[in-house]
Amino acid sequence: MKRMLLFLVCLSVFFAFGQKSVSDGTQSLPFVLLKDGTYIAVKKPVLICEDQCYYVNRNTNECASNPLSEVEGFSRKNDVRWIDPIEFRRIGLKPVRGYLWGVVFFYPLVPGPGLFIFMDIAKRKRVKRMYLTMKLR
Amino acid sequence: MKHLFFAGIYLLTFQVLNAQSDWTFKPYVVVNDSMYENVKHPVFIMDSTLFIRTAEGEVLTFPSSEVDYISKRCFYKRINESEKKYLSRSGNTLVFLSLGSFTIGTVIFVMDVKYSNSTGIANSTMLGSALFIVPSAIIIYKLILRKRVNRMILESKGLKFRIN
Repeated sequence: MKRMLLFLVCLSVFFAFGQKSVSDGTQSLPFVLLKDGTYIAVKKPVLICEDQCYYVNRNTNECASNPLSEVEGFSRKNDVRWIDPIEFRRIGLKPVRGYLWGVVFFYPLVPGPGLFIFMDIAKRKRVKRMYLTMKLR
Repeated sequence: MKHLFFAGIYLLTFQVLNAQSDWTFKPYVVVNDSMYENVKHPVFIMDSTLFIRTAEGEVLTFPSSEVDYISKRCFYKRINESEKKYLSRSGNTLVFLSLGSFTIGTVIFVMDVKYSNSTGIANSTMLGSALFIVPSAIIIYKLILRKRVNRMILESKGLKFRIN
């Protein structure tokens, strides 16, 4: 018990001193950096399909895209995925399922899997929205 | 005598195979008569293009027609049309379940080593823990490889990651 308490204290101290200060100019949110120096805060995931970069703007909650030639890079915490055009179309046109599994695994069993299933569903919904707004515009 | 004979055959075969193969060398690729040594995993071919990451962390691509040789320790694989769709899929749930399974297996193993005195029970329990640990470790390794493949494809397009 004492060892466990000591371990938890050490862990909390480690995390407290391991955090970055907010004032050092680093961005904690995921973002896309364009070549003209613009930072765009985005939601996960960011998709790269053919020569376009698709993302959901975090501030306006709108889907947008940029040619890859205009994109400089991505932040550390970003979830950037290369996607095949056929797979992009498939996800975009297919209905999003899995809510029932999320609910089933959320309450009666341990809450972890349900949470992760819902996270995956949220990401899939964003991919679908990107396809419907950007590709079919 | 019989055991010695089989041991000798085994050692001889192992030595011969070892001498003939390139398992002793670090993973390398020969392209257009240039050798790229100590490449990092994964090495893969997609859309007739070979992707490698050098020891310096740089991603290089070559047309597969120009590739002369890929060493065995590269464990290179071809990503075909049906496997491409897995690159964009999220692995959150799978990672969670695999880590959970890995933890359960490790706990069973540790408990077994710590508290069990009987060798028979120990063996069966260790087998049980291996049934948890091995598949989850393979799944986690494959997910890490998938992430690396994704990163290499994007870096080959000139994109930068980990900008603060």
